[in-house]
Amino acid sequence: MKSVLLALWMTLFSVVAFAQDFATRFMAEHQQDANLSCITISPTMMNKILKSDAAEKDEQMAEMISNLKSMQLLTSKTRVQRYYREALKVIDKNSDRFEPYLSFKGKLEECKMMVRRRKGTIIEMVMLTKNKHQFSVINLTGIMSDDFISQLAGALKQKHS
Amino acid sequence: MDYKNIEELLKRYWECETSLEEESQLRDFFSKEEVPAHLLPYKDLFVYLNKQQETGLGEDFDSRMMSKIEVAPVVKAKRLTLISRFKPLFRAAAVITLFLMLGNVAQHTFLSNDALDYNYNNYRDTYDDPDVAYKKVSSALMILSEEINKSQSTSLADSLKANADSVVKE
Amino acid sequence: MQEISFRNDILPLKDKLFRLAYRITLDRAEAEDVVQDTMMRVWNKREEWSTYDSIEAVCLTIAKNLAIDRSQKKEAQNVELTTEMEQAADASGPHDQLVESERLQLIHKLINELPENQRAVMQLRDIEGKSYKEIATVMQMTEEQIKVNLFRARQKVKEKFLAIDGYGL
Repeated sequence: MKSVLLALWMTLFSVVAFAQDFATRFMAEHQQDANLSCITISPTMMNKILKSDAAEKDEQMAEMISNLKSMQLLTSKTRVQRYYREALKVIDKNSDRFEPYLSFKGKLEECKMMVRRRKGTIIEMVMLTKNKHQFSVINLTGIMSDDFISQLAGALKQKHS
Repeated sequence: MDYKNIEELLKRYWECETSLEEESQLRDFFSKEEVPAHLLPYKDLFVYLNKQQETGLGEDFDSRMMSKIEVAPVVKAKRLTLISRFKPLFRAAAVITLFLMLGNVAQHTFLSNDALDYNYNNYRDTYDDPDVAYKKVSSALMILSEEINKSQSTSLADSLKANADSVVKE
Repeated sequence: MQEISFRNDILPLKDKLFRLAYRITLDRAEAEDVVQDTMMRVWNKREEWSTYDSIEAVCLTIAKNLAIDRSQKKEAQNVELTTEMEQAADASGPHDQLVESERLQLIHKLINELPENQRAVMQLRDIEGKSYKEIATVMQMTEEQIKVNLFRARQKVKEKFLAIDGYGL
């Protein structure tokens, strides 16, 4: 009986432990760190955004946001290299969850984007960026289909047209 | 008198197939005076087993034991049993909580339409104002868009270069 | 849930505990020590009483372990046990106050010649009337092992007293 309960607790623990996005996991390892700032947008707030005045004005943006469940932004202006490396380590440790999506290496900056899929659909997106001044993580969760990605890619062009 | 029943019980007794009831019956039977000759060899055993139930310690043991106990304070015992009385309740509550949580997780994992298994309960919103939050989200999406385009254009440039190279080689 | 009291729930177990301890140690004084020891230990764990399914089973288990401990220490001191049937029939050994007639003395001796575990199991079944499940808990063995021990014990006792010349006649 005891061993059954123990097994159930471990299952629960493992399931609960993994039901976190990248940013939460990363922050868990940097709890006392004052250099890292974290901005959280919960599902509740996402819903509020969609109903807000600002969102009404930009239909296309609102439509993209409607796919999102949450967003977390991590930034730090110091120890940029170190945080970037540590973030990559966390990705590596969870290599069965995240697959590389794209990467870019320029003279002044480097970025890597990873996605987590479930039954083919992207349910989490993690973008790590570093440049001379800042380390940042943009972490989205939601249902992001291929349509969403092409919309996202097109968003900038639209703005400029 | 029919001793078939007893003979049967006896046979099963040696095979350890008798119940406690039946064993009690055997002891009762052999305690009576009239035991037939062919069953006499077994009488002593069952009489012995019966009588042994009466052996024990005397009253003086009780008083000696109690005096040893009474050295320790009685108050302590009562307080502790109160706490330990709740232990089974706590244990039960823990098990119930476990199952509730598992059920909750299972629900989200299997029944949820959007197949997302994230636990958002601990998310603390940074902003109160949705308009401000909107600004942050849209700018983040713009940054993402920028990076996607940058990487696409470099890969485009790369593939163009590769084509050019292969043309030159030909 | 009824509150367990030492005086009303544990102390009355003294006879059962004594009989088991005596069957194992074969020494009255040792057996009494074991009962006292057992009760002291149980008393010292009184905050756990309400968590026990059966306080009797717990007491018997502790008594059994203490008794076996002592009996093994005694064996190491080279105590000889008579196994000759004639000697047994003679009842030349010290008369056990707990067993009245000569014939019952004989059975007493035969049972006490069994190995420790077998005589303990026989005590718990044939005298204390415990179920196989309860005996398994106290002896800290499986029910199968209990049945095997009981089988061997009863067979041996039967074999021995039937073998005694002129027995029963």
